[in-house]
Amino acid sequence: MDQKTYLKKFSRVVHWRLPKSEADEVLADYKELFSQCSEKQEDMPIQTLGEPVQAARLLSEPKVYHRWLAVFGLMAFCLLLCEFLLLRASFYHYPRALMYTLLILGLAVSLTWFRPRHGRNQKSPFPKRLFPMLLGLVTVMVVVAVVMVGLILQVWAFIPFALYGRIAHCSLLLAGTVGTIFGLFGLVKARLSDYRWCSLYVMGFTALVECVLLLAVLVALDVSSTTCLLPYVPDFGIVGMIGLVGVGVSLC
Amino acid sequence: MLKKDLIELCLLQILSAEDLYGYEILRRIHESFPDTQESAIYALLRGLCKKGYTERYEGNTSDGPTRKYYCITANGTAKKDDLLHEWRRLRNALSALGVE
Repeated sequence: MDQKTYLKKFSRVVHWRLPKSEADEVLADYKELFSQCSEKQEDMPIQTLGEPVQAARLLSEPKVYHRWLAVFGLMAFCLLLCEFLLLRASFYHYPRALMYTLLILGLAVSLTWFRPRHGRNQKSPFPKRLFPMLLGLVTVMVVVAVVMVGLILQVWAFIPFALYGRIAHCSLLLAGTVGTIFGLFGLVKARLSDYRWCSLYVMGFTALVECVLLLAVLVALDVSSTTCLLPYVPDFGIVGMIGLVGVGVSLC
Repeated sequence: MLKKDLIELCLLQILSAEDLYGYEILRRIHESFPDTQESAIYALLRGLCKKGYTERYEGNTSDGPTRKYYCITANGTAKKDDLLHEWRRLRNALSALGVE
């Protein structure tokens, strides 16, 4: 393993195990160590440093690391429980309270944990791939919304009515699962590189909750009349607003 | 007294003699403890810094970039004396048992 590969691997592990400010400091120290070796015309043997994973483990305080694992577990649990409900697609009642609780809990924990530490670090440049991913998720949501509205209003005559339910189910399943995958990816990236990746978790979670709520309505109700959906419309608006505010806060 | 404490004692001892930069500290300690990985020594050095036994400052070199130097603090000196006392006690105890 050469120094560049070592540092790359070490950077990933150390950012996962240590708080960002500490991880950056440690990484800067390691870079300095390597550069000092070069100054002395010596090669720092990688084997004397130990494996990157082992080196990072030595640096992390178990209590701090376990706290992070617990927080990560909680955020992932909120997301995955919603995904489970979406995949199961069986609702005994409209899960308004559960969805609001999970969404608010997940968002509150993530926004608290990934809040910017002013004064400690200079603000880094906006992550390159974040904006395209947010845009991609919004696009998926818009496409699914158009499909759902089209099905509910029965504007597509070429689609057999018998397939409406299956198309709606598949669309919501796809959008919700994309939200879950993006959400988990955002969580990991927020820890490893930049706290603003948390916005992807927030948006993915919001998309997932919207899908679960809509699926619950469609499963529980006879939607032969479009007016029966009206009482639930405010919920979608409120969830969307919570998500938008969350995304805005996490990007600040 | 564990090996970790012995290395901490050595770190504090060499820093009480002079301020040193990271690589030099690791090199010296690794020479005395070749079976200990440098990442472990760095972790101990960092631990001492976090506990306030050592401090870091940026120092200039005559013909190179700035380096982070480590120096011992008053707390560090007290800690070194404690560890040294413990080491002597242990050495005497072992000598009394005939362990040379």
